[in-house]
Amino acid sequence: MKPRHWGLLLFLLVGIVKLPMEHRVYQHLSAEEVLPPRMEVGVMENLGQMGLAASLGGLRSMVASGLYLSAASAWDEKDWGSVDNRMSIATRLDPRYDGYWDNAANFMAYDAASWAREQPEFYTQQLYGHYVKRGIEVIQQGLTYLPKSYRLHQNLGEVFSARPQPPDPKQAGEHFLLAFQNGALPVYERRAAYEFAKLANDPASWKKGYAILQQNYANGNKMPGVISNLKTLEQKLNIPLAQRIPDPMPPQFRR
Amino acid sequence: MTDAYQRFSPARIWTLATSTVTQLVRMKIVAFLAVFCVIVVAAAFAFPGLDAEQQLKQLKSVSFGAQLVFALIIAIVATALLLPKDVEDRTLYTILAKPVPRVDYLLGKLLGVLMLMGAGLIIMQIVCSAVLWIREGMVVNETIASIKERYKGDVPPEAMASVMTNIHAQGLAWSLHLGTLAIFLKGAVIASLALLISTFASSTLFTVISAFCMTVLGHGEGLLREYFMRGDATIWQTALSIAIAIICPDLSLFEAVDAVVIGKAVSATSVLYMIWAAGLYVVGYTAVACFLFKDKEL
Repeated sequence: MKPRHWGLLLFLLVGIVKLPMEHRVYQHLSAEEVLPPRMEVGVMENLGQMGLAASLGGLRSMVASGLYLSAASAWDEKDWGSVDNRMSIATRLDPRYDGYWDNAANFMAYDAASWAREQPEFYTQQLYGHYVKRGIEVIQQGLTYLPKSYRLHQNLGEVFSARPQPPDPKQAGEHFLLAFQNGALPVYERRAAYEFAKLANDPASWKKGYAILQQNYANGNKMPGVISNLKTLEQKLNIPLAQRIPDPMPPQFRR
Repeated sequence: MTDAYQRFSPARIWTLATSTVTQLVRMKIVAFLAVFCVIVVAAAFAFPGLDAEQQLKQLKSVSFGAQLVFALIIAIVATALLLPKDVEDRTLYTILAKPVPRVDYLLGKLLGVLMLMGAGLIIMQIVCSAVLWIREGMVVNETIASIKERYKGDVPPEAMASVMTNIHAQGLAWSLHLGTLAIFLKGAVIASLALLISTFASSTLFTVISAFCMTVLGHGEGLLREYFMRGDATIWQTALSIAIAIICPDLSLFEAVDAVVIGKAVSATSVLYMIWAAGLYVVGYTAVACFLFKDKEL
């Protein structure tokens, strides 16, 4: 056999030997979240030429950055369809960066929705609702990739707390609590309790909120928000008078 | 043939490698480094409208993108040019007329390309790190000033800490250099593949196009496999997916840059896995290239 035949044989052998190695390395690196998640074929079909080229050229992060900048310029022109489209591709190209999901949701739930409300047409309310819903969807999609991102939980809590009409304090509270449990500032734990205190009839959530605020109060955190919401929850939960916190002293008696 | 001729000689390979570096430097390939410096400095100040975190993220994405483009160009074009250029200049005949085995010649050429690519990437990473460090300091100062203004000087420490954590996550970190290592490993695999193709290719253009196609297929190998191996795939589609998997290296294994850019720590085990995979590809493809080159009529 000539060397070229040996070469061909070796090439096939290398091709076969590398398969289990590739599988093992891919499994390890994916489990450690070193590699970006492989895009599903259905998603690839919606990425367009640029997304496809980026993915096949190994330039996902750079193209995602370019799309983010391009979405920002569409934002200047209030072209919300383009903003949503470009941010959708950017988030899919770089799904492990919560900053893109966060911004994409803000563009829809805050900027586009506020713009819609200022329009003179009769369907502004529907349009407002549509954009808020889209913002919520974007963060929820982001959470499928980054379930422990405090930033996304925090933002989802903010959106549920203020943007839908009527707001959804239950969802807002749950996400503020998840944000705190995943590393957000302690204020988000308190905000979860404030949201639970707003609920009309949900004793389980009231109890959660009460436990949080009572703990804060016991630790010396006696801010007006803590006291007023604690009082609200004491009433809602019918806490015995002896166990309630004292009424704050009227201002004229304070030093 | 003497024993000295047949013996594997690292010194001979090193000589060939350094002469290859000189040859490539004379081709003005490294001029890209100057362009890179301009791109990085421009990227550092090109997005003043974005928030601090995004400015740093964009700078890193652009820098790593430019590093990858540099590595791909060197790996594909420079490698594809080497053998035909040596034939054209008659240098190849002068070298092989001396007691230099063809294997040493090929290894020297590949090592030269890898040295040039590695040195280029190190310079690029130093420039990128320096600009990032300077820019990070600037945006931190700007952010502190803006937060103080917003809170009228009485800033809650936890609020400040939260903002700074987000900014520093996008700043300079040791893990960033692993992104450059991942790019180098990917470039090394592509260079060895391009060298393999150039041992049987009839023209430089053929080598460049084939290596480029293999690079694209290599990045999408997993995706193509998934597409063709669906339950409803025909026997031809399945056969095609198997052929692609055997022929192409899975270059997506070296896409650690995305994780590094967002500030994710990469473990030593993951780095070793990547080095192991790249080593297997490079050794395998170079061995095949040596067999094919041994038989080549010059």
